[in-house]
Amino acid sequence: MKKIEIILSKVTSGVDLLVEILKTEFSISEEDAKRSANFHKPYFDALKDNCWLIAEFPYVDRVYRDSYYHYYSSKLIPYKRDCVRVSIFDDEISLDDFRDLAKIENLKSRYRGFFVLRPTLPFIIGRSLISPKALKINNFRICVTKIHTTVNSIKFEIEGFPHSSQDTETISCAETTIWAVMEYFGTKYPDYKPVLPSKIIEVLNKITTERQIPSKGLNIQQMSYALKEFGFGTRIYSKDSYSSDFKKLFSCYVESGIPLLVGMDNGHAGGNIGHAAICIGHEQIDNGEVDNIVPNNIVDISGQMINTLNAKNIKIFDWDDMKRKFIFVDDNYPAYQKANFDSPTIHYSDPAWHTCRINNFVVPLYSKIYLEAFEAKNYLMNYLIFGHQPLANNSNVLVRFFLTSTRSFKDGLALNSSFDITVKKLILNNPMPKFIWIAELSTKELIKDKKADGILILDATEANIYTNIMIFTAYQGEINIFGDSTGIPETFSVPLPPFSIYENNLKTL
Amino acid sequence: MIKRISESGEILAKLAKDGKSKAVDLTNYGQATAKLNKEMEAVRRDYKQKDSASQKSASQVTLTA
Repeated sequence: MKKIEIILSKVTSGVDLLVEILKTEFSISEEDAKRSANFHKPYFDALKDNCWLIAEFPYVDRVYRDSYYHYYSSKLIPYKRDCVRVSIFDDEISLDDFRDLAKIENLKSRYRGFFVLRPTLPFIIGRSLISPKALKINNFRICVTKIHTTVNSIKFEIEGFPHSSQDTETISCAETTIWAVMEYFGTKYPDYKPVLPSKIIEVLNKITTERQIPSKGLNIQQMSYALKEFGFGTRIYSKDSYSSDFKKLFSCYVESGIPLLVGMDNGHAGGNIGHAAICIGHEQIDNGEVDNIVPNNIVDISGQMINTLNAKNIKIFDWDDMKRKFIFVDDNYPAYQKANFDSPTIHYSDPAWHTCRINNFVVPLYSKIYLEAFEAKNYLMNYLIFGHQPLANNSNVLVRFFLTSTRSFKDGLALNSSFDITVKKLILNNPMPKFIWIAELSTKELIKDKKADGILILDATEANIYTNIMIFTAYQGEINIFGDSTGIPETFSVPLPPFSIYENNLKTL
Repeated sequence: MIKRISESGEILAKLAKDGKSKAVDLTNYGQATAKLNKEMEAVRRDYKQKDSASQKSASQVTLTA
């Protein structure tokens, strides 16, 4: 039986490392190995030049093994069963460091994640989780999970978002996005479990009329079905249906720290490309873009909101209108790709991809979140304009709206030293459901300092829009506490000084 | 010794004592609620239509690239 071997390499020699591994461990010809290694050069170029790589083999990767036994082992051409795991560290490492107890903590602080190489040429990048700290460019805020792994027999932890390239046979982009989302939720929350490719195929078997492997891809409805079967209360949004609200809803859910399964295609331009990716966050906010937010950009369903706003000289600026790049986990590229919403594949070398646009997205909501973003945000806007405490005439208000868990919100609030203690105690002692929608009211100037001066809390488990959805409000010098079955609040004159906004949904590493 | 604490109760009692409690104008509140409900009826109808259309759109394109 072959013993475990290790290769150490600087990341700047990553292509040479790949050639060596492909030739010796995957029995690929020199010519094919060089071609494949050069194809994957962007994966190494994205990492900081001071990174070092430690490749260990043979490595049993559970995701590839699952595909191997369910598909590759039945083919005529023999496929290798084992993979190679490449771990990434900041700065130089030596094998002796792993056996020196005094150096272990330092090693752990310099660990930056891993990627698996699988013998499925040409798509060899398998399961990976790389910390944004390993990247040359990492000025973004994203959803992250923490996973436990091992390098050279030592246990490590790493934070990031799961990624893999598609092998195009057992998993296309669609199945890969389902796998990555489940890997994220399954490693972060006990309500969910990571899934293997065969499990995804098994679940979809119930609604397909043809064989599923080799994979021909999935449509958004199928992807939503799979996630629903895995425990989510999924919602589907399409650009054609929601028009100008589509981008706002997308932004709102991203701000809520929920990874979105994104369907993009170029059918509108006469093309035949359809691709799935995951949106996990956005780049750091540029204060200049705050100034560019246009007021009162609201879809006025009844036709009365805009007239009322104009009559009262009220300007509402929507945080979700702010222009910024989003962060995508795209299985055709290294993880954490920045792209504009309107041109998500402009960075592809093939010009046919440049006309792709995001036409659908699936939101994997917790199953007990009954109030989704479209109705929640419309309720908020109508409350601010027509409710019993409408915005004062001549107000200039910037609204930042997002979903969060009560547990995380109350923890963040309890530790927020800038929040007024009286209002804080009233909020913390107010019963709330597991999930809430939060509206932070601010101004363009305050938000540049990451501050707000008003807050509204909505019940995300209340789908009956004719009852009172509000739980607590504090703005314009007044607090309202709702809780009585009549819906009539207890109202007090209590000012709320500016406070630091809630930013725990997304992380900067 | 057992000590029962209601921070909110104490705060609200003090606010009331300090004259900061505001009586809700029930007429105004009722009118505002009726207006809000009417607006949300239109939102709900719009949402159902868009949701149904989204379901149809979601089945059109196969994502495989």
